[in-house]
Amino acid sequence: MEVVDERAALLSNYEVAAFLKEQTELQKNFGAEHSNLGGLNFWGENLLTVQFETSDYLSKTACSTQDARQVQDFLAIFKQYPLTKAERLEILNSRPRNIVELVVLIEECEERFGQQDLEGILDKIAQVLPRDETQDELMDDEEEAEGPITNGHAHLPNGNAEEYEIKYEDTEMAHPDECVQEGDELVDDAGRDSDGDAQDDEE
Amino acid sequence: MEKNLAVTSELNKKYANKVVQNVGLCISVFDILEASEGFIYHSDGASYYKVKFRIIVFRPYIGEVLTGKIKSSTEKGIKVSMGFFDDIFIPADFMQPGTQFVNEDQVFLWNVDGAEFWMDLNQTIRFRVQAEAFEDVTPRRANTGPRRASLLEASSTETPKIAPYSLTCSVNEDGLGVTSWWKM
Repeated sequence: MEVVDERAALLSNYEVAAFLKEQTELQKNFGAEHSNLGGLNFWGENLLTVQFETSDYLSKTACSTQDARQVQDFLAIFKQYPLTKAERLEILNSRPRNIVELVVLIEECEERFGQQDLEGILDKIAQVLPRDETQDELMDDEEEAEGPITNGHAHLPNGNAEEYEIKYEDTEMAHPDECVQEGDELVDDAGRDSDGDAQDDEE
Repeated sequence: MEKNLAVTSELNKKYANKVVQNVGLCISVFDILEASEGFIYHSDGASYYKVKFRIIVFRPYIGEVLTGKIKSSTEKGIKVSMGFFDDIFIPADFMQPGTQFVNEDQVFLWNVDGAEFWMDLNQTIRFRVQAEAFEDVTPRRANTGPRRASLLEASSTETPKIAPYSLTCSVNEDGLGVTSWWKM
């Protein structure tokens, strides 16, 4: 085996999650149609294991509520900030909820950004990557009380418009534009779209 | 059956959930860039393809901030798991000043301005990658003759398991450590 390029592109958590979801579907359908090839076993135990564990991990991170539109909007808007590609990627993946969480993602943050800039960035994040933060806290609290989460049920459902509605009224933040409501049908073109742009991340 | 599907399946059997030296932990084949015509070799019924492909790999860069769960702790440091990847270690030296190991509870405690912050098991922790290490764990070729016995002896006393790819991380900055510490 020869490694041509050990880091051809960076993928964001969202892209990896979307890809794995698509693959899981494909494998299921294939397994149903070709039971003579061993069904799911055709793909091998290693793949099924790592696929499940990775999806499980990602479902508990910020990317569980993101969709292709949100990611594209995020990248378009954050081009205007003097952030490196890696920093944008980390902000997208970890979706900081307050200044401390943001500062830790930006190198030499104090020299490059003032308090106001950072607050502006946080507002933009809340706007393009809406997420119900009370749910997040519930999730954290549950973890503390019960130890490990046994199942992926603790995280929120995708793009529930009503929930976001409530949150934005409560916190008096800018209401996100159409992006949340339009979300669902975009999953399919996700991986390819942002992939070509090569802005992306990690796994 | 479609060729790419068969090739993808074989590649995943070979690489998925395995560490490739100096590349990282492979997750799943992303796409096939090119695949040659199949070759059938003498005395072998299978067909062989030369394939160029892209694969999704877990390989955080140095300095990247990640989250995981505290799996275990000893006075040397904390082991963290991300579910699909477990070889993450936070040495005691890379924790906030004022952190100590509490023997009775076997967990770390960060004392700051009179407040106590505990690092209990299974809590979600945010950390920064400081160093990575690849270890070639492919079995060495067994020697024949007298040396073989000594090799076997040596291997039985060896430490149980070496991780092929491991990360050393830190939590000694504001914003890092157990995530619930930094909620506002």
